Amino acid sequence: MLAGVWAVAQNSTISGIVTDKETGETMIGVKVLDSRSGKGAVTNSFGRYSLTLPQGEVRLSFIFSGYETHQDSLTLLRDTAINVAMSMHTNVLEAVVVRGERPTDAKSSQMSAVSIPIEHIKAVPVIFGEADVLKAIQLMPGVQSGSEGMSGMYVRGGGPDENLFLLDGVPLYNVNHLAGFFSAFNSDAIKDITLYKGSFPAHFGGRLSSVLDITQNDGNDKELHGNFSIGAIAAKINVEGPIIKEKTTFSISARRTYGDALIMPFVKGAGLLSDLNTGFGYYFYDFNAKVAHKFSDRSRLFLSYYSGDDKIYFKVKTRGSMLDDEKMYMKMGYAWGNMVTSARWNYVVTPKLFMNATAAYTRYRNNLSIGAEEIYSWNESVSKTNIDMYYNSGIEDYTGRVDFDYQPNPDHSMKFGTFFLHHIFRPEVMGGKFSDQSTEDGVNHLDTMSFKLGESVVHANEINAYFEDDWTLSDAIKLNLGLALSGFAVQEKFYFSPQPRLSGRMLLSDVLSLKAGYAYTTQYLHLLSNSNISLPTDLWVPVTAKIAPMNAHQVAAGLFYNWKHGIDLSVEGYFKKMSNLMEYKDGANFLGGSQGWEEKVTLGQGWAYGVEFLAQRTVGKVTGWVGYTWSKALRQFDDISQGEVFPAKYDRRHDLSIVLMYKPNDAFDCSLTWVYNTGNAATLATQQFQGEDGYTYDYYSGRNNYRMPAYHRADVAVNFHKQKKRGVRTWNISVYNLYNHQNPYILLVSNQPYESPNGTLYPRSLMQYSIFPIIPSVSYQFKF
Amino acid sequence: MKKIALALALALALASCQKQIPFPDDETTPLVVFTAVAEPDSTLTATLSFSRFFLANHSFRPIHNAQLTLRVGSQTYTATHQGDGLYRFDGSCPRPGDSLVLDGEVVNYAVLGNEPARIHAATRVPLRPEAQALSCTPAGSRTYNLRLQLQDRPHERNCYSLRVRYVDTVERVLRRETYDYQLGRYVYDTIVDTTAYDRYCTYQIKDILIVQEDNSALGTFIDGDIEEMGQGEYYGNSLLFADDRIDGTAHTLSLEVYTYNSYYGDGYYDDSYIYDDGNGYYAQLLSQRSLATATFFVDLTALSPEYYRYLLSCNKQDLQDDLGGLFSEPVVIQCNVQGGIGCLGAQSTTRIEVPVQLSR
Repeated sequence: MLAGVWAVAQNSTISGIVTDKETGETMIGVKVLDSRSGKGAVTNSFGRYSLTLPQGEVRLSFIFSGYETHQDSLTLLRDTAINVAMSMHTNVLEAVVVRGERPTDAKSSQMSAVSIPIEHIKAVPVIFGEADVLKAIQLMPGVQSGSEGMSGMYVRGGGPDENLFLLDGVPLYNVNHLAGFFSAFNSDAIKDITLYKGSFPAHFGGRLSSVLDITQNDGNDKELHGNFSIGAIAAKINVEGPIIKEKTTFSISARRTYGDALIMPFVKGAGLLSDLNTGFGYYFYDFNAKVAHKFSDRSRLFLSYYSGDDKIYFKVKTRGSMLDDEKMYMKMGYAWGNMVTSARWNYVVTPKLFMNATAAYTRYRNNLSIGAEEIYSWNESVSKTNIDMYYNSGIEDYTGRVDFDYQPNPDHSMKFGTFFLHHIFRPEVMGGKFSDQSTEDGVNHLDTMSFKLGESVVHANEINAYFEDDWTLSDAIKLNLGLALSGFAVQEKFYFSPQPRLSGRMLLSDVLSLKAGYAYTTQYLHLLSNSNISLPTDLWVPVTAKIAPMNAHQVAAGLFYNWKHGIDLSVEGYFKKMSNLMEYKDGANFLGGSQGWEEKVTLGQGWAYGVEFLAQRTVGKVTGWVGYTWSKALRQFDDISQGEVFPAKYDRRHDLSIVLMYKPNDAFDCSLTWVYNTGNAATLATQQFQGEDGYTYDYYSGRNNYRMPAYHRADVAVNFHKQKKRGVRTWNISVYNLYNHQNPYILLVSNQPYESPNGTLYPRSLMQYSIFPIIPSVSYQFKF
Repeated sequence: MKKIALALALALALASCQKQIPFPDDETTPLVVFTAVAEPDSTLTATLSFSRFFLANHSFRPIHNAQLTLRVGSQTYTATHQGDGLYRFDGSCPRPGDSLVLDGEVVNYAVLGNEPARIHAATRVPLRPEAQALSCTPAGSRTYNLRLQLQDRPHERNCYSLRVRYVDTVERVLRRETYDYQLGRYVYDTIVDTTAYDRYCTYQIKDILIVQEDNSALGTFIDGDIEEMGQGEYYGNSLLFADDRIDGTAHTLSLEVYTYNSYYGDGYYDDSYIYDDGNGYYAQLLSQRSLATATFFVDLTALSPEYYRYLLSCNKQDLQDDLGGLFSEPVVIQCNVQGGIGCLGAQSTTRIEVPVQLSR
């Protein structure tokens, strides 16, 4: 194969960058097509393309839906650089943006992937009017949400820790705010999102179930732009523009909730009634920043930064009038969140060879601090007691990677590279300091005591090398062949995993193709999760000498049809076999955190299979999609349910999402979503019995033996836009859970009597509790 | 607009966040609960009762009309109902190594169309464990290190429970009061009474080879305690372990045993007056002292694997209830009764007596 690749003679290469003419943002996924030879290429995540063609007349078309097709003709005699700036479609109805080479494109070799334009994500109605990337992704087939309102993602029967979230190519660990009700991604800071559910290209690795690849805005290189918005719970601002025109750009976005500020007067008022100074609140924030600098057409540098934290604080202080000789002060602070920073350098080594080098640092931390101080004075004496306690856990990653794109000829588009991650796990550290100081008759006394527990830090090294080739065998057949080699060193143990990847497309007609793919993936990290919701106490832990890495084989096949009117239809089937999955054993208590966690878990296997249908329309007045998934997700653990197969927690037979967006003109648009899915599985003891020892025991027929009621909900959003002197203002009115359906969140036994269908009266009943009834919200946005 | 706002406000006000979950009849139907533990050379008895729907709180109903047969090797035995759901297989005295197969039918299983409920279970009586005492040394005023050697049988999964009883002999000086019918009055004398008494003791094993993953819910060590409930019955937790990591080896079990002088405190008896029902006297306790003779009785029991899993899951559920189940996964009781709930288990016990050199 390689002999054939380099044996082609009399070729020259056209390469360059494709940008948006108005903003200067690089464009990802633009199709570059030579209509004479029929050969083409697609811009990569830096907007760069490279197309090697036989010398002679060339007629290039740059195609991206929603943009005017750019055409260029030239006589190709030598390697040539062509940078293209594309303009948005003048017809507003065609200008609904979608990616050029989208995964649902019948001609693409990629399958099992979805891409939602950021404009659609912002248009999807959500709770409290806060656009949310992950909740929009949950509406795609094959992706399931966790509990009501949560951002957790369960992709093709996988767990929530099996998703790799990449922000500008750097892994992010905790992607949720407020126990999972909001994701950590501020939609204003994002340019492009692609979710891979299977058939992963070889350059992605490290998780079993999915890769969510998120690219932040580079920033407008022409002029200063931005927007700000105020919603029901949060305010956001985004500013971007040139630092040096057409050379250096910046983009800054910030978001913060302000519920704590709103309740502060009430908290203080309540404190005053008790003669106390009090403070209590919760907030989260995100801060995204990016600077892009162009040294030359061949060399660019990107500096990215993200920081997002959740914070809960509480403090109380006596005001002095309660007991003049006794003063007391207590405070508690709990903060958790991510910080990611990266530097990426692009360099065009030759027109055919593009390099990107990345150095990055990721940190997730979870810090609790509690402090108290008491001062007691009598006569001439003073006694002062201090207590400070803390609990810290976290994970840090240092990443270095280098990636190459190489296009030796139009039939081959190769990627190869390597990356190295140094992980530092701090599962749990607890400590405290106690001091008692007194001054009595002029003599000082000081007693102190301190302790520190669980100081163990685990270091681990992960290394990966990959190669993949997007190989056009003929006009009809295209293959993507890849191999990733990964290794993980921890506790004097080294795990090695060769991971073959293969996907292919066969064109059955110009608009219909058959695609199939296989991927083998390995994951070296586990999430010890305390419950169904995302909590800061969830701990990332590495594989150990005793806990082996998780592995998954996945095969998928599907038909893809690009119908007229911009409608894409696809049907995909998949089968996934997973091994070394981790679950808590029966009765394992989550309290105690990381101490002895290996003894609390058990390893087993899982299977997931299903069929996904997607009908998506991306142009016109009415856009949106209908996604339906029929699926099964099963688990088998020797130590759980007596070794019998049981349904995974988020095993759902049916999952239907309908998303409709209507935009008749520039002044108005609206959207509607309706979701329906089979209820979650839960473990419920439906019988009790008397054991041989005379005690009463609960009888569960197995793990996840009970099916909660089905979930369905409709949301609507309406946007009113108006051109003002300095920009466009938008009023957004949205209603979550339009028909106020009581969806199950938690089941609890109550003392209300229950009468069964056969008339038997029971003294207790099982109650379903919902957390989100109908919730209307309003937000205001101004874009300048 | 006002009407819309009013309608929305009304919808919010009426938005109830709780709803009762209905259950179809087949989910409320009780299941047959069978429990029996076979021991060598003992007549097997079993109890049968109905489970109850988890929202009910009535007492468990015994089953009176079951037909049970037990096959021990080639012999078949039929159970007779003794009352209150207790069944006895007269003549069945399984020996170590025997296989037991139980089949049962509960006629007039009146809940769903009078269909009979059929149950089936099987087990095998384990061989008695081979074990001996190695040493018993004091490690404090009331603490002893007890070392035993267990010879595990190779190439099979052996499961064990271990219990320790501490028996202390006490000499009591009593002023006895008896009624002399001839004299027509009470007479008094002083007697010395020496009796062996079971004492409350706790014990634990810190042994990474036998602290199984299954025991992780109990911590990084397994522990137990025992106290006499009277009439020769003992209450307490056994140490449960399996031989997964000591298969076929001669393994030394090191126990740390803490003994107590009495159930409720350091005194032997709180009451100054004693009524001895056995000898028919009423006496005043004048003094008491422990004699320098005491014994640990170690019951090392081989459990059938299914009985081991059943006991372990029951222990875990107990523990979960103690800690509150909010932060832990539910514990599924490991049953081996097809068509019902419960366990047909088997066990064989080896008792080891270890004299104690009292350190007080």
